[in-house]
Amino acid sequence: MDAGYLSALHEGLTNLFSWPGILIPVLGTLIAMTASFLPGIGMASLSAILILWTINWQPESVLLLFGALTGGATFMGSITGILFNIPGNSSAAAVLLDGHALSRNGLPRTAIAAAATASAIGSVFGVLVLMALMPIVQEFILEFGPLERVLLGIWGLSTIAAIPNSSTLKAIAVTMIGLVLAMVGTDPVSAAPRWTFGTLDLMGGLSVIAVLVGYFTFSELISWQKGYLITEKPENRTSQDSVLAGMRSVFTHRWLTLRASIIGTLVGIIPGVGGTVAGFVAYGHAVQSAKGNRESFGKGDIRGLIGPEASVDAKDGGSLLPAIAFGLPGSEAGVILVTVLAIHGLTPGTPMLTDDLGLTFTLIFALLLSNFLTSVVGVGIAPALARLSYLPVYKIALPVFIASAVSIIHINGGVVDLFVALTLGVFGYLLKHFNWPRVPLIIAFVLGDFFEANVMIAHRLHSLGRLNFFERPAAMILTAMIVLSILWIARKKQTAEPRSPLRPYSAAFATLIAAMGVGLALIAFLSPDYSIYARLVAATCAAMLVAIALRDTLQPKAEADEPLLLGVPRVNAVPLVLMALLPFVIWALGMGPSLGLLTFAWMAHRGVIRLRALIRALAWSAAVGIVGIWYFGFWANILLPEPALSALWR
Amino acid sequence: MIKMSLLVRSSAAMILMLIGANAAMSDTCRSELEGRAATLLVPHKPGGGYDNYARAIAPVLSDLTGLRVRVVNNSAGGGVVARELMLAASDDSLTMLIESAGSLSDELAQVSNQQNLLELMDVLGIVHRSPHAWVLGEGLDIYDTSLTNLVAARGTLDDSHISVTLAGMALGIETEVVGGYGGSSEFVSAVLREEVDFTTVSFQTALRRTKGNEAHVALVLSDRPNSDAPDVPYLAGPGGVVLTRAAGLSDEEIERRTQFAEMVVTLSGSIRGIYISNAVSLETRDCLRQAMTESLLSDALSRSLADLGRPLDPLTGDAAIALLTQLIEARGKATPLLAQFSR
Repeated sequence: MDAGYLSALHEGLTNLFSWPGILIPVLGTLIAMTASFLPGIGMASLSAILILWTINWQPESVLLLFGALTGGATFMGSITGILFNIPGNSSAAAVLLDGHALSRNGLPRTAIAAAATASAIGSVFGVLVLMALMPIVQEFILEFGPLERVLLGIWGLSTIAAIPNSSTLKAIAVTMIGLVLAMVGTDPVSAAPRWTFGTLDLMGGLSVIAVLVGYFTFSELISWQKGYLITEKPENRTSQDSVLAGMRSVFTHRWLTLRASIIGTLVGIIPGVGGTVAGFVAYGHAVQSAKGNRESFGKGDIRGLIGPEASVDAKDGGSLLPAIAFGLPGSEAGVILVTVLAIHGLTPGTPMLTDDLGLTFTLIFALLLSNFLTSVVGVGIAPALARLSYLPVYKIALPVFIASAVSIIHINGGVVDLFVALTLGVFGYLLKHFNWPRVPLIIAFVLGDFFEANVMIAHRLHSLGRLNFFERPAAMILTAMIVLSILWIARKKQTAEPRSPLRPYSAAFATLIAAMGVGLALIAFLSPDYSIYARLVAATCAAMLVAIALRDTLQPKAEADEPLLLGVPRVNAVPLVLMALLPFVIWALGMGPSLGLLTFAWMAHRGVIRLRALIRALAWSAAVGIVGIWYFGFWANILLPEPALSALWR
Repeated sequence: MIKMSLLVRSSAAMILMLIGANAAMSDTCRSELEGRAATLLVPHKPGGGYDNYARAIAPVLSDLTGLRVRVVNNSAGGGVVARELMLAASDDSLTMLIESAGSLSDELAQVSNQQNLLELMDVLGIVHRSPHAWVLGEGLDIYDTSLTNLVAARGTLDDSHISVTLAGMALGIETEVVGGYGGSSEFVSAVLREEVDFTTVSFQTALRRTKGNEAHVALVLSDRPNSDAPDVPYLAGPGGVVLTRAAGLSDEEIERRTQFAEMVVTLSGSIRGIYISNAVSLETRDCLRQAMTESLLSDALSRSLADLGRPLDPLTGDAAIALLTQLIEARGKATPLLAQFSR
């Protein structure tokens, strides 16, 4: 370690711990935490505004702020996931698989504390790697091209095999559905539209947040309606639920935390891959490497929370590397950072790694501090936040639905995203109801986009003689990891449990989605614009679904003793109908009035018609409506289409 | 000749612009816009070039006119949704869009076979024009006549016909395109990894993206040196790379290459403009045009953009309309040739 490096480290630390400089990352972290926790406030928009506000600041102050904003946003997205099954950002999706289940099992404090501790360890690891790699970072990043990304995608998809499921065929079929959903939009090479059905809003593809919120949060809301009448509460807080237990669990599973941190850092360094992939790859690895019973994953296994949380936070450090080393942003935070560097006269690349290394360390230390701070605050507020998870379903379902709808509408200001989310919500619920594996769909959907683009690029480069596997050491290492991973899974594969009888209507459900799969495949084959990749995936998906439909039709089924609406009591249909109607009402009336109307109908339907209850419902609906009209009309940073009925008033 | 026509008409337009430059907003317009809410849509994610321009323009427009302007990012559908929102706007909702003229024109041609974007929307002003540029890998020299086959990294193939294929034909270089890369960062990364030889991005982006690495801006697709980087070779005209590389070839071949180069210069640039739907009444559009003219020519905006490190090169009023009209005419003429590349 040379003197220049040590002096730069010293400069970075001095900048961080200067007075009042230290206040900047502290405030930045708190701003990022608040923005990530509240629905609708996008960190990217907030950062874009702060770029202008900080134009006249000194470069070191600006770096302290933006380092803190990058670090502060990641962890809080997991909190909403753990408590309400709403991923606060797409990176948090893998965290909620077991995080929310832990919370529902009466261990919310443990879950939040474990997430906070794993987050702190993951982020420290990521930053340490970032600092260690600084002298060789440029050569290191260039090792990861399209071939390596394809292999990373295969590695990610191969982890699906480790996740326990009732049927391998169904797991593959659901994976294929995820890959097909990822292709909706436009072809990455030809830009030809695919499965958009003439809708312009779908040309950019299905929004990741809409899919995640729909698939996890809305399907959970539908599930909640099953126990609505008995005002089902989550499990009472158990004696094991404590902050200390959560923190201790991370150290108990220290090697998993470390391995997940390595995965996150590696994924972060590769531009354009992102935290969502980091989370799911780490989740798959957690399941794959688990000793003992793996059936507990998805039902509240602490290892399924620690792995992805450590990974998504470890990726923060790595994701800044391409921006610092080459001026090439590999993530949204990277775009903001490159802009900030340019405005303040800092040149990424060699200057940031030599002459301005002190400023680079200032940024890195701000990131580190903010990661620590979010974890400390997270642990500190865990008991208070945990109380929210003890609320009964009837009190929490409506706010969760409204918060989710607002988050989804905020993505693009389009009602289409809400339709997408509701469709995925129903689909996710039905998969769960009929015992189909659910997680593979999300892993494939998240990986599909970048996997396809890189397959196409790698194929083209290979055909032009520009890609040779044997000249790429990183590709060979990744291939070895994939092979070892598959062998590991095969060795540990548990004996399949005897298949239980199918639930009533299982064959009808399988036939329905098989018909849809065949329809999508036919569209791909009849149109000249679909690539071979798209046709291959769609055809495989259709074939799998048809095979499952045939098998389920022939297999014995349980007696049809369930009430209608597939497990949801008929009397609880009202909230479901209201959820289904919301996009249409928004289209007709606009956001504010629709949310007001939803609140009234949801609260007023609850059984007894009493004047007091009606007045309360009216008061709440008026409040929600007024706030909605004000927020979406004057404050929110989105532009909604004119309500269809407003044309009638003109 | 497309280029001569463009030069003459641009000059006339510039004169018109200068005449109108000092014309302040009328009192009628000021009272028409005072206190009203307007939206400036950015069809890209926050933080990039378009976003920077929009966030610099919005407060200046608000201060000068009394409009309450908010900036909204909507990158859905690769910008298509933002365009549709702008087209659906009325007098009640003053929704403007900041976007590249070329992108808008391409989108309209693809989605509705609508070649002339000015039939659907009006241009309120042009903020900045930037030619495209070639970014080459380390060790490659654009003047080297032994360079006859090059591979380029790009996003979609349709997007590459002018700045890669046609420019390559003008230079006597056979080009292959590898599509599927996601944005200018990825294009330049592919060059750095040496899996491709070059890429094309807007000149300003090229300067930014090559600042911290070994790739270099090798060629600006214009017919004169660029004032921001006068040492960078340019494509067409006397002293351009096309004529230098074509030295010793037949007159017929030189003429052919020159024609291709002129088409590239006319068609490949990035023209960042602010647009509004023609569904908004003519009176309101005229008032907004006056307001935008005042903002684009203001010292406040020029200072703000200078702080952000973004160049300002405004074209307002009739000059902006004239420039877009020429671009659209040139695209129409080039369509049969470009269609051949798609096959």
